[in-house]
Formats: sequence, C-alpha cells, structure tokens
Amino acid sequence: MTKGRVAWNVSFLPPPHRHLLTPLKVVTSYSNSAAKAFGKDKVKPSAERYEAATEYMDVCYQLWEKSWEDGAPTWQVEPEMAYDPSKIHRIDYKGQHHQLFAYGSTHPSPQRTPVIFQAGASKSGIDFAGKHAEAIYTDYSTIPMLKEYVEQVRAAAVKHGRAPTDVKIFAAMCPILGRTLEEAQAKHDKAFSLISVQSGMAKFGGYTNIDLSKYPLKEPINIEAEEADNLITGVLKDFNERAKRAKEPFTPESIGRAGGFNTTPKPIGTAEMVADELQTWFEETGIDGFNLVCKFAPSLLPTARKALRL
Amino acid sequence: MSYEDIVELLVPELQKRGLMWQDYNVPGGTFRENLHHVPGEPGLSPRHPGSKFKWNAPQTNGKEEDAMPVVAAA
Repeated sequence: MTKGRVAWNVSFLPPPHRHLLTPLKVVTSYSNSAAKAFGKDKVKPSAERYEAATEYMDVCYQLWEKSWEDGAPTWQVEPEMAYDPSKIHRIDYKGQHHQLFAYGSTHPSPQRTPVIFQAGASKSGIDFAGKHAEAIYTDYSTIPMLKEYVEQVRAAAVKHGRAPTDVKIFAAMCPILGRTLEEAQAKHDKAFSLISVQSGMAKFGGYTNIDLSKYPLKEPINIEAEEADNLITGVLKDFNERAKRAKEPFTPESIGRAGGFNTTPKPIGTAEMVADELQTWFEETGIDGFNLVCKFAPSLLPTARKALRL
Repeated sequence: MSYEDIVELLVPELQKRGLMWQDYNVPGGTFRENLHHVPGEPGLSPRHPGSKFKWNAPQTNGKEEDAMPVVAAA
C-alpha cells in the first residue's frame, strides 16, 4: 500500500501477549499496572522481558521472511489462484515465552520485515538494539551521556556481527526558535508558564516508582532513585545524573516542573544559534540525526480541524 | 517550538551548512533503502539477524545457531 515506506515501532508487554502490536517503538513495557491489565501479577525483570522480546522477534521474522516465498502471489484469474499454495509455508514455533503454529497472514511488502525502530537504555535494551534495531529513538539531556550511550549501542552492533552504523540513532531535541533570541525566549517562557507541576510529579512517579506527593512541595529533598523491574532505566539514569549536577537541591515542585516540561534538550534562539547547538550535539556524540519534539503547534489545529471537518 | 518554525527557520539553515539532506537518498525507494542509503536493498541487510530466516536463505543442515526452537518444518 505504501510501497515499502513503513517502519515497525513495537512495544512489548510482559509475555505472552503476541497479539499486542501497538504503534510504538520496540520497547518492553515497564509498569506493574500494564502487567496486571494483561493478567500478570507484576512486570517481569528487564532481562526476562528482553528474552521474551527476542523470541517474539524471531517469530515475526519467520512470518515475514520465511512463510511466503517470492512469487507466491500470482493474482491468476483463470483458473482462479491469487496465491500459489506451494509457495506458502507454515511457521511452527515453540519457545519459552511464545508459541505459534500459523502462516503469515498476508503477502510480503517490498520490505518484508518493516524497518525495526527500537528504544531502551537498560543493559538488555542496548544488547537487543545492537542485535535487532535498524534505528533507535533516544532522549538524553547531556552530551556525555548521549555519547556514552551511542558508543555502547555501536559496540553491541559489532558484537552481533553487524556494522557499527547499521543502527541509526536519532536523539530527541526540542528546538525553540524565533527570528530573534528575544522572540524565541518569549515562546519558551510562555510554554514554561503553562506547565502542570502535578502532572510532572505524577509522570516522574510512573517512571521511577517515587511518589513525590509524600514530601513537602517546596522543601529540598534528597532522593537517589534505585533500579527496579518496573521502571524505565534511561529516565532513572538521567535523573540521578541531573541531581548530581544541579546547582540547587531538588524539591518536588522543581522536579514536577522539569518533568512537566520534559528533560529533552531545548536550544533556544535564532536558526543560526539552534543550528550551532544541533551541530555540536551531532559532531560530539556520533548520532545519525535528531527526532524533533515540539511543545505545541497552534497554527496546525485549525488546518487539521478543517481537513477533518470538525 | 512548532514544526512550522523548524521548517521555515531551522531547515534552511541546516541545509546551508550541508548538515541536512535536500532530497531522499533513493527517491521513490523504500524507507529502508533511504534510511541506510542502500538502493536496491529493500529487505533486511545480510548482516541483520532476521536475514537468516529468509525463505531462500542457504540451508545450514539443522545447525542454525539461533535460539530458534522450531519443532517441525512445515
């Protein structure tokens, strides 16, 4: 339909949920509430989630790559035969986490396996990326942290017999642009003034397991987040790193404000200033590109409404 | 801040510096060909672990080193 312009952005919930393909990246889910929603007591440890994900990938590869031979679709009218059954094969798979006894459900696209996009900063996640990912979305708040991550992913690719650049890495960046620095700064300040501190605190709790509502809102707190099965490793590392570098001690309010605004780097200024910043990140970290994040796009809404006849 | 700012302000500056592409690497090609700059290779790279599952991959006489617990060939 798209002539092969699709990427697979898949999310793995705790196994076995092979039916669950969502339009996200290849990440393994982290929350106990997600596990419970699918009938599990709690989320499995990161390493075990990636074992299940590895089996899952093997199943998908077989359905996409092996089940249908090239030339299986014939579209023959007389005698009627859309697909040549001698060229379509059943995939039998019996793993620890996934079982399958089925045919690929449709004829292959030009790419067969769609481009594999992935995200995940834990040790297992990086190894998984080195093996399977063709592209990665990542989000780090400092150049040294991103650089270290890039080096780890490239080394993991080599370990799995691939070229270091077989995995394209796209880092999140939220440029705040204006025709002048003042204009850009004003846009930043407006967006910052609209932040919900509560939502930022709630988001932080979901990512790290730390309930900030138990602490006085404006008083300094000293917390060191610890690794656990049901949280996102990358967010945690980033938080601990920021806590070390912070000039002033964190308060629940300041964490909520930062969380509400997100910690994606936000170069502010003219196109030249922002391009300088992007160039520095690009050249110093060894990434392949950026995934641009936008705070809002007010002028798009009326256009979208018109198009959708809302 | 908005995608319009990026298109109107940032993209021309990045293109001027030669940091951003002007057109697709493989116009009309697949996403994979464009992402990896590999015209004529729309499928998984031979280095990718998924490529060993290709229907016409060379047979390995049952010695497939992957942890693929296939119980029976179809």
